[in-house]
Amino acid sequence: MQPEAPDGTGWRRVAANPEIAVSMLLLIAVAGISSLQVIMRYVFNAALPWTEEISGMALVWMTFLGAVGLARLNLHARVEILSEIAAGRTWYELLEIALDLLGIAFLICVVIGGVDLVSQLSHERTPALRLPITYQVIAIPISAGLIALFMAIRVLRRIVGIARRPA
Amino acid sequence: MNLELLLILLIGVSLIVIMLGMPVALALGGCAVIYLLAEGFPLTQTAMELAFSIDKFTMLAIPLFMLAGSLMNAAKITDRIFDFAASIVGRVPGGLGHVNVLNSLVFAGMSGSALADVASLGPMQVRAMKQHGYDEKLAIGITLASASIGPILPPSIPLVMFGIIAQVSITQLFLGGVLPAFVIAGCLMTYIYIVARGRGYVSADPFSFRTVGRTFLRAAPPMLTPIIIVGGMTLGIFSPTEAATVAVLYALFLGGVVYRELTFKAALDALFEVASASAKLLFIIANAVLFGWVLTIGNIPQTAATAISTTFESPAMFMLLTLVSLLILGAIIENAILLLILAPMLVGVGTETFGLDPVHLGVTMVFCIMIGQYTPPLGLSLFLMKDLTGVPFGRVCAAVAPFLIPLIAALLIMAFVPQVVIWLPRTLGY
Repeated sequence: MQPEAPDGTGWRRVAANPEIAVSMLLLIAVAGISSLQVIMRYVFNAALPWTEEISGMALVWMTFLGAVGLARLNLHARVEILSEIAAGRTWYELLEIALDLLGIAFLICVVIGGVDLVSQLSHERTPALRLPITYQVIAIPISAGLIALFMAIRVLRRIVGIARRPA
Repeated sequence: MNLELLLILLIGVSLIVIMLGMPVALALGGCAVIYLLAEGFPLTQTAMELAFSIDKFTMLAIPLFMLAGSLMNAAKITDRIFDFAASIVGRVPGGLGHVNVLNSLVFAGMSGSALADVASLGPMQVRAMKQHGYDEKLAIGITLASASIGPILPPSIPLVMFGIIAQVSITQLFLGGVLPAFVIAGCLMTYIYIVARGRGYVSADPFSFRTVGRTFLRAAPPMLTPIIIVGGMTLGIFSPTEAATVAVLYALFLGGVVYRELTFKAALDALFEVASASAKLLFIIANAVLFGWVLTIGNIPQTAATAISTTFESPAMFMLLTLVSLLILGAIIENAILLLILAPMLVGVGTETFGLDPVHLGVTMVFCIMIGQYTPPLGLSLFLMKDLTGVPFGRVCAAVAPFLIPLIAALLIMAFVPQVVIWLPRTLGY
């Protein structure tokens, strides 16, 4: 599941992709917390009760922020047979616009449901750390909204591209 | 409209839009939302499933195993393993071909991913074989085919995914993968021996125990990784997530302290790639969990079970049908996606209706899906090999095609001799 690497490497690439940079920090946090837990449990025989909660939350944010970056770079996993054959043809561009619009419709549903869910769960707290559960839930509408935004920008670009094409 | 019919229709439509090129995660999620709206569920339910699907402790094993593999790669440990393998089997006909297979077998234990195996070992192995007079086509074929061992020998990301989705013990799956990995290696090496004997591919370097010993010492620390992981999990010391954490710490220790070849830049690139690769995978998993939940609400697994069990009478027929359809679908759908969509349906039917062992079914299905990577048009490993070597896609496909014979032979052994898979976990008391 290696991604097609975006241009460049090193710091330049990290700086060009801020959402993925935050995802990287969260990945480091997840690895760090898990290591801490392993060390506390096996070396000091004193398991920490809060690590699962925090690393679960970090994993949700890592995934959904990373998904925003992948959407901006158009790197989400998809079947590319047709795009290999027909990229650049007008009918294919129109098809891609239609598919993106379907995706955006789904994401809008997620944003609406996510915002409702955040207000419904606003008094719930996690069992160990007593953190508001909304810290985790709010990742869903925020990321779905951003993914929809980047997809909408791509749709607009495609439409402009088609309109400028000589008939 | 009948809701069950609607759901079957929606599944069909989502498969069509996936084939047309819609991002898989969005197609699965979209299908689920339409059905939930038709059933009268509130939209909050969708957000709820997404927000609480991947925050599970076991899920952490996926990015952590990926990170461990990437760090090992970044620390350039592969050439050490290559030298060790070469010192053992260099003199056998087809020597470097066997080295290639053994190399994958050892490296597999660290990367857990066929693509990682192709990406890191591929260029070096193909180059080395060409330098020793091997046909380029043969070199590419062997390198790709041997990479299929990666996802079978633990640690294995596909097996972790399978365990989570189908709710089968990951420790048992890992143990179940150990012997089949050797069966696959055996089949490939037999085939290479037969092909190479006629062509006289033999190394000139004489066999020496001293070289074996010296290269073994150089390669031993990374080769301990799978032993630590599987051992720790088998003895019940580690959970899969803890084993993955230990693997990350061990990779950092090897790269940073023992070999000192892990540069800061290489580590940074590894982190970037793992963050995006695991976000990509977990984003699909989150949506696949939502989709799977909708299938359960719509009674699809039961419907499918009834349909399949009235059509096929014996477990062997069911197994054969599963493998054939996975091989066909594997050619057009990416392996992780196929696993996530089909595992929950097929495992339920296979274990409940036909009495198959879930570990046996899991390991066999994962290997079958991995072979799908070598069949065009959508073989990710094929595309990767094309990019790495600059050989045209058609030639890469032709190179790997003959190796489907030993790979499918290994698959059939795994499928119809279940002991190969379940003997080790059973013997160790699972």
